[in-house]
Amino acid sequence: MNYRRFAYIAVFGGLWGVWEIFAGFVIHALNLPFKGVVMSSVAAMIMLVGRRFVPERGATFSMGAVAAVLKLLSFSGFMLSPFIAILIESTIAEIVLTISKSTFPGYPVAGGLVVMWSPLHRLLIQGLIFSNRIYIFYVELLRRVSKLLGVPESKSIMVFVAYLAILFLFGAIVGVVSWFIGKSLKREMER
Amino acid sequence: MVYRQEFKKGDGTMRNRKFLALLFILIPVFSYVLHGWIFYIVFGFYLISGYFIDRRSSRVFKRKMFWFFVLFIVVSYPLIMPGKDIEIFGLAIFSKKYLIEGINIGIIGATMFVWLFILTRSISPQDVASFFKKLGMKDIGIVVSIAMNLLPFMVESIETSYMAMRLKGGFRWSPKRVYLFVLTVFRNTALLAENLTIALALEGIEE
Repeated sequence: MNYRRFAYIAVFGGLWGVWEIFAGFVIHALNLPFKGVVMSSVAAMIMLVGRRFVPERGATFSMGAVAAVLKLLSFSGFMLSPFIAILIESTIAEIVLTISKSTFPGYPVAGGLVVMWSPLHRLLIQGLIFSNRIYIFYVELLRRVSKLLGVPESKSIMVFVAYLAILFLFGAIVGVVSWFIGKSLKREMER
Repeated sequence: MVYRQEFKKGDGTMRNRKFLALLFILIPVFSYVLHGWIFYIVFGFYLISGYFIDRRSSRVFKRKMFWFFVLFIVVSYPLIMPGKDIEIFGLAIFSKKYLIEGINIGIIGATMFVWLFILTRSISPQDVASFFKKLGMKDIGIVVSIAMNLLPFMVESIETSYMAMRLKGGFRWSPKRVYLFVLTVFRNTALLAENLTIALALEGIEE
């Protein structure tokens, strides 16, 4: 049995769980703007740094599973949405890192996709809770924002695409930072 | 430990979970197909039966976040959507059609929240563990129990790092300081994992 793999999954999954339970509770209670982006950025950083220590297939998803179970068992209110979010985020990162064989290019891509997922997850969950009627509201909101920005109505979807691109870029930076944090820590631990 | 007290366990005592899950899945279906008075009857039935299935589900209505969420939808929906025909202080700012639609969305949301509460309460940690076991992750139960026992130490370690940085000269939110704080947290986490590796090897947990 690979004890190191076991220990790192438990500890990094636990750290992610701590973040989701305590910080997640505070951030959601305060209803801060871009809370999903903040949550997923830190989550991406934890799972990507963790992957540097356990660069094996399935490690990132396992960390996500640990964090998701911890979140499900925690005291905070509706736990199904974050539970699904954690599992999806870890699955996205797992797929990207497995394809890239845990090399450097996979880190910014995984970080970018994980952070980009947060508004999409919100749309998905709100669609499930409030039915498809909520999307009519969002389409109208997007049309108004486009008008405010001076973008033609026919190209209003581009505003949303641009927003996702900014999030991807931010997530990619998180991925690069995670790579270097993991690298420096690994070097320090091997000393 | 104080952190452990904050964990609750789903009792998993509800035997008719499959039936409950079926009723839950039908909510979005009904929200698509039902209109008019049938919509109000069906969703009213859902809310009332939800209360009788699990009386604790009424806690949902005591949550400020729930009311914020529902009221946000009910108010902003007719405000954003076109066709203003309701006047307030002489200003036409609301759409009657979309006000009703907003209330309907609020009812669907309230029903989903109540039934989500009922459903999640009927799931026990063992159910979740067996779900991951089916995915081929049989060790997840052991890993979760280890992680749960480590939570207090991890929180304490984060608090200690934060306090140490504050004592050193005040914690100002500069990027460099945040980076150093993050680095310290990850370093402590990695050290904990190394110690755990040694402990697991000594304990000899078998597959």
